[in-house]
Amino acid sequence: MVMTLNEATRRAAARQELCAQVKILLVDRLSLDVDPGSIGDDQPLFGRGLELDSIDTLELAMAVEDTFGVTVTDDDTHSLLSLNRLVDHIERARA
Amino acid sequence: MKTRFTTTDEEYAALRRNTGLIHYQGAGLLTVTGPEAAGFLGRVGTRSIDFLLEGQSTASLLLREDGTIIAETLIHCWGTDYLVEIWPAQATEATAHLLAAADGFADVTVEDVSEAYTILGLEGPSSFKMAQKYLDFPIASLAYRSCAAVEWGGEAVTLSRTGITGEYGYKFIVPSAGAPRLRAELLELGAVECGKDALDICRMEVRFAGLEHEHAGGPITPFDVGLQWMLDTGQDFVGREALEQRSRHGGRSPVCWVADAALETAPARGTAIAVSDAEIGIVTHCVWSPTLARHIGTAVVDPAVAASGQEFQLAGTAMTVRTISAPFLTATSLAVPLD
Repeated sequence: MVMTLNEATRRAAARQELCAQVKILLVDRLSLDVDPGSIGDDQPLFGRGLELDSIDTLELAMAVEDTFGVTVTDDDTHSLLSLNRLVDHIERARA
Repeated sequence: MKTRFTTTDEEYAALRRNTGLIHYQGAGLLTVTGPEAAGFLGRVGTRSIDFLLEGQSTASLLLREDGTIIAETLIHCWGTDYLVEIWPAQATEATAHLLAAADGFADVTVEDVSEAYTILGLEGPSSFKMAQKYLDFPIASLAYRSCAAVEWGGEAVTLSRTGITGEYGYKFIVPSAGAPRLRAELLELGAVECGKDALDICRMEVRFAGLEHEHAGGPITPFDVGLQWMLDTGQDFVGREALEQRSRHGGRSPVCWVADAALETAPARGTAIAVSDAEIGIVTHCVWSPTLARHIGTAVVDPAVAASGQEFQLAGTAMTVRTISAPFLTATSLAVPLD
């Protein structure tokens, strides 16, 4: 069902707010030297992009659980392919 | 680059399931040497390379003074010297830009070596097995975005792990005289020659921006294609001032979308995207994804509605497109351990 402009704007605002929270969490908990606002929603987290490594993964998983009460396990690797994928994971778990 | 050798479907299958061989015909290659080489690349490119170590590679954007993108480059570090690799579609302008920029920079020498070397790539979940034959150390030790000097048939070859399909991916930078022999050898080992079309689909599926495709008809900035993360804060690069102005004034935001399965024809660049009561953006690029069996693409939309999970419509049709989170699919290689 195609949204109205009001619906699309309302939903985007909620999603953008969650993305912003996750960006701040990433920067704070992983002590990244980047402005959270410069992280793109579809930016890769590993390899290309934020260039996180496997140790960062563990820290990130703990941070997400502490902040959002959502677990990220070894089976959720596909949820760490981008900031947006991680936010999808959090949204699904909280739904 | 050749568009295709057999069919795009066959070549796509090789890239996603086995090993594809790509000849990056027309790619730009330049050496940057001299005491100020790192300073030069940190000025003409958007990323600092001061901390790039020998054998490491990084991506950097070349911008015009107005902040629009000329090219995305890969910079390979050879000790105090650097090799700059440019995607074929942007090679001519980017090469001229770098050569001209070097004229105003003391203690740096930029040389176009594009004709002297050829770039052959291997991409696919099995490509690492083939690339391993050219290394005398375990290929798992060759990290993503790194390169190694190898000797092959008496030739000095650079082997980098700088794939662009989301699969394991390697590139051989080989003296051009030896390239036909290496190509023949890789084909003999079982690689399938792939053209640009299959490669472009794979790039889109893992959201590597295809700068030659992904635009609204004119020059683009890093913000237009979601590459703002390649702008190093604190780096005084060409185009920075213009981008700071631009970011204060805003603009449309890039999103990824998948089309309704019933959509048979790819929407043209510039096709309007709408909600039920307003137009909110335009399509910037679209390809057919064989794995997802539907059209997928990118668009720029008004920032107020830019988010993953939105249901939009191709204006003037009943076809819906749903914005999704990149990458469009998970590469096969993610489930394939490097032996």
